[in-house]
Amino acid sequence: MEEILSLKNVTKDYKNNRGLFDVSFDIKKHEFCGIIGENGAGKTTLMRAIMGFISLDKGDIFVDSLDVKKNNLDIKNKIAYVPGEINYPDLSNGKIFLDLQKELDDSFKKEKANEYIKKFQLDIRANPRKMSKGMKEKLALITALSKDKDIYLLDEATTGLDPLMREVFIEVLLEKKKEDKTLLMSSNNFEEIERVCDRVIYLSNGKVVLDLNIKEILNKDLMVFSIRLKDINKFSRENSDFEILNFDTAENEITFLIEVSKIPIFIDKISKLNILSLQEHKFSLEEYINLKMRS
Amino acid sequence: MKKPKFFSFAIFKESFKSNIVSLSIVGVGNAIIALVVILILSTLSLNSTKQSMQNMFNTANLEHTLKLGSSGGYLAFSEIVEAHAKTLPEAENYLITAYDAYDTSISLLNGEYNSALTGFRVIYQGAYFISTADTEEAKHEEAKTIALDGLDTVLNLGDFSENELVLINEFAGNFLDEVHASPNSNLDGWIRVSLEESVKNFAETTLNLGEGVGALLYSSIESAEKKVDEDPENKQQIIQETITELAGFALDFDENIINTVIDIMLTNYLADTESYLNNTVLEGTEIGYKDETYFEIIDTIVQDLLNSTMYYEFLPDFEVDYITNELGEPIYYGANGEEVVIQNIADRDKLVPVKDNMGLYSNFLEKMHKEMITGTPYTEEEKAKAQEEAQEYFDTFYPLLREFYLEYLGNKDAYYDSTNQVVLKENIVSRVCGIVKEQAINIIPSFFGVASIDEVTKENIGLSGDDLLNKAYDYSLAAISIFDQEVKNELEEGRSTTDAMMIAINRASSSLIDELPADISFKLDDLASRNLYGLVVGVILFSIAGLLLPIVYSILTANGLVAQQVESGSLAFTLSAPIKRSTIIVSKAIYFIFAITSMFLVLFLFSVIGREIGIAIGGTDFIESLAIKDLALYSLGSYLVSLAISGICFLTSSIFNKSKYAIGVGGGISIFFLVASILGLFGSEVMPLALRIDSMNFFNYLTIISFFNVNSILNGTSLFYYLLIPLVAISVVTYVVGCYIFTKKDLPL
Repeated sequence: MEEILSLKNVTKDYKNNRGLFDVSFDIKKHEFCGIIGENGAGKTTLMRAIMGFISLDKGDIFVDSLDVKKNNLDIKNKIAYVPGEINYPDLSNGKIFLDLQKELDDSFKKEKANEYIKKFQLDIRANPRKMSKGMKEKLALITALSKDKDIYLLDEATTGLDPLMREVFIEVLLEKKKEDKTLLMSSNNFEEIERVCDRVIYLSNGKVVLDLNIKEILNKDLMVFSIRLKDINKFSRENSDFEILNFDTAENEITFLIEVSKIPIFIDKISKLNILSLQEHKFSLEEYINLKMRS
Repeated sequence: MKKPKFFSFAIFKESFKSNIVSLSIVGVGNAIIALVVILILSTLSLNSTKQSMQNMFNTANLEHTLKLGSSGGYLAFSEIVEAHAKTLPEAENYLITAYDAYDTSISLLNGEYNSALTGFRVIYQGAYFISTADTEEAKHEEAKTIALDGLDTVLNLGDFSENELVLINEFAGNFLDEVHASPNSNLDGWIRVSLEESVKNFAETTLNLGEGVGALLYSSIESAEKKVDEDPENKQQIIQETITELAGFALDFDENIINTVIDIMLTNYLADTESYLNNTVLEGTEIGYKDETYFEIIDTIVQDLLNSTMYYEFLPDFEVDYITNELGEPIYYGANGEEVVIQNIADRDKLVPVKDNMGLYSNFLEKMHKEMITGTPYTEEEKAKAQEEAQEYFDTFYPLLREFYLEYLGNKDAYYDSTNQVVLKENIVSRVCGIVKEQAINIIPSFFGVASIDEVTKENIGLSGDDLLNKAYDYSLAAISIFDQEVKNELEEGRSTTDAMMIAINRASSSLIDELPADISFKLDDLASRNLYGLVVGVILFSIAGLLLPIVYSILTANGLVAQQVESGSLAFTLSAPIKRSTIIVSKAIYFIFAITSMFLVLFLFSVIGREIGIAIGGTDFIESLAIKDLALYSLGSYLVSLAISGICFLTSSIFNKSKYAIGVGGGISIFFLVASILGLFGSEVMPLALRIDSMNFFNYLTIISFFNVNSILNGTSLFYYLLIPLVAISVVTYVVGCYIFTKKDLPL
């Protein structure tokens, strides 16, 4: 598959170790890619750079082979964007805002918008400025998703959404996936990314630290077991045959990462311990990354 | 893919919709303020205060003009009577007699009468021969009597004038005495010796030239005779010149006046001696030839006076900051405290300055010494213009002179007591006052800018026409009596007649305003000449009060259009749409300009409505003092100032990503401009001088609001239009640069 978004040695130095430093990666067509990273890692700067809102100190960004620097107008025809910080002009209601969006951008589809308004249960009669954080996010999502573009660029678009709406959001994104669109979204919600994205990029201090194919990681049939012991000190860490994700002496809890095939052996082993409780779940992206970052 | 446009209507619409409330409030609010202020003004009659001030000045000017005319007229009329009754006949007596004496003497000297005199001698000698008297002396006396009896036959005495006969008779006697005394001499010798004696006697007795002048007269006759010998054609001219040289001994006139008198009188006398002597009324004239000649002389003298000194009255005023004497000459005090008139421009630093702000406006005597007083003379153009105006003034005065002259000729006794040889001044005074009152009917309206005396009413001017006419009579009477008294005083102090008259005219014609220090009268005049409505509406309303709301609106809107949208992030939606950044910012700029423009169109509309309502409810002063054109210009100036300030705010809003900086810098500059303009107002030209603090004008150099020059609109000069250019330039530059910067900068969206 050909790449639709391509970053080459992108550098934007805001000093104090903030900004982007020599970031390079490609996003293929129809790829859904998540970006995670601690606060200040450069996620928003990356988004702004792709939109052409800021100039780069070094490097190039290509959208569908078009240089963002030179073809700013053309790339905007290909990208729908939800900014990280959402705010609205002083208009008396959301409908006027959406009507203006229609005028500003021909690719904005009113029917789509109406569909999403229903899905997200947004009351667009309110002044967008006076909407709650969640409502503002919904309106921004509706605006961006109603546009028929190749690429959707979402910058932490769901921080204010309630869990129910988050489900709707994921549902909508999965629809977009069926439509063969491309997605680049930053988020602090690993679950969201795990469920929607094919790939995740971990940014730290403006650098790409991890670039992972989510399916590959999560298809390894790994399970996570947490056991609570009466006295954790009786358990010798060094002698363990299994990989330990977490060793919590305060709670007397140990978390193991176990391959599905080795579960019987593991059960056998722990049965000899004085276990107070046992929990198990599927190995998640978050745990994977934490693991990776620790090592 | 659509072609990129420079303007997006959608963005304009978004800006319009998100700012419609503040635009409406500010636009309508400002317009209503204007309407209310204008309506309030319409109920005041500012012009009446101004008008009464103006009337005071007009009345003072009228007073000065009438007093000057009165004292000048009185002087002229008195001189006419005196000239006709006394001075000119005296001069004429001298001139004609002297001329005849010269004429006869020269003829005798150059031998014209030689044959006649030879015959005369033969008669004498015949009579002497046949005389029967005892002594030679007795024979001589007898023969002389016989010969003199026959003088008429030899010389045809009827051809000679009375004065010539006196001289001829004397000469004939002396001639015979000389023939008798010096029998060995020749004819020329006898003639010269006897003529010399006769002329000396004639000069002292008939011409009243005083002792010793006779010899001078005779020697001048001899030198004139020589000239005539060489150039017999110009005998008349030569005699006239010689008489002029000696006239100073006989006539108490100024030198230049003597020339005029001799020139005109002799020319006319010689041209038609008989008509002159008989004062015949010639064809096409209304009075006798001699009277006409006298008037020509008077007229010429007045003209000369006008061209040499009187025109100074018409030169521009200046402030006299140094002490001058009664004659208007700048002076300093010498070592012994005596007054010294400065003669040299290099001595100007010795001049004594008057106290601060106490300098008076120059009177016409001081104008004669302008160069010494101020250091710079009047220019030739100024002088030419003043002479022209003086001539115009005299042209209206001349018929009055002529009229009076005719009246005097018809009734000489009314103006001259020939027994006591004095001018009857009372009658001249009442005549002058009467004429001034008559003339005032025509003059007064022009001083108050109305067409006729009927329009001079208590309602219009504060004084009725009748009041003013009576006043005119009083001014006239007062001026003449002051003039008379001053002339007397100055002559007693030993001044020349001319100086005394100049001082007297100057004092007699001064009015109330002339006595005020120039500084004060200038300030009063300034207040009186101001358009107070223009001041309140143009300055207070359009350049201060009416700018405040638009400036605040500009600061907030400029910020709301760009910086605040960047800071909050709301611009992201617009910016992520497929529209060029330049299109976005240009569309916003166009909206901003549109908003400011519409605001001022509404303001203009409301101010015109206010004016019309004001006029309808009785504020008729508005018709002239608050013309629609003025309102349009005020609005235009105010609009362009606001546009420039909106540009500055737009620029800062485009530069900064944070509202606090955009408002802080753009708003700070704008408010500073407004504050500086309020402070500068106290020093600006629009402020009446009485309230002006000149040093505050400094603030006007710190604010672009001073490019809106209300003063120029009030004065009708074109400066206003030129000063709009910088405002337009600021607007263009700030908007263009603002747009450019926005398209290039990083946006945190």
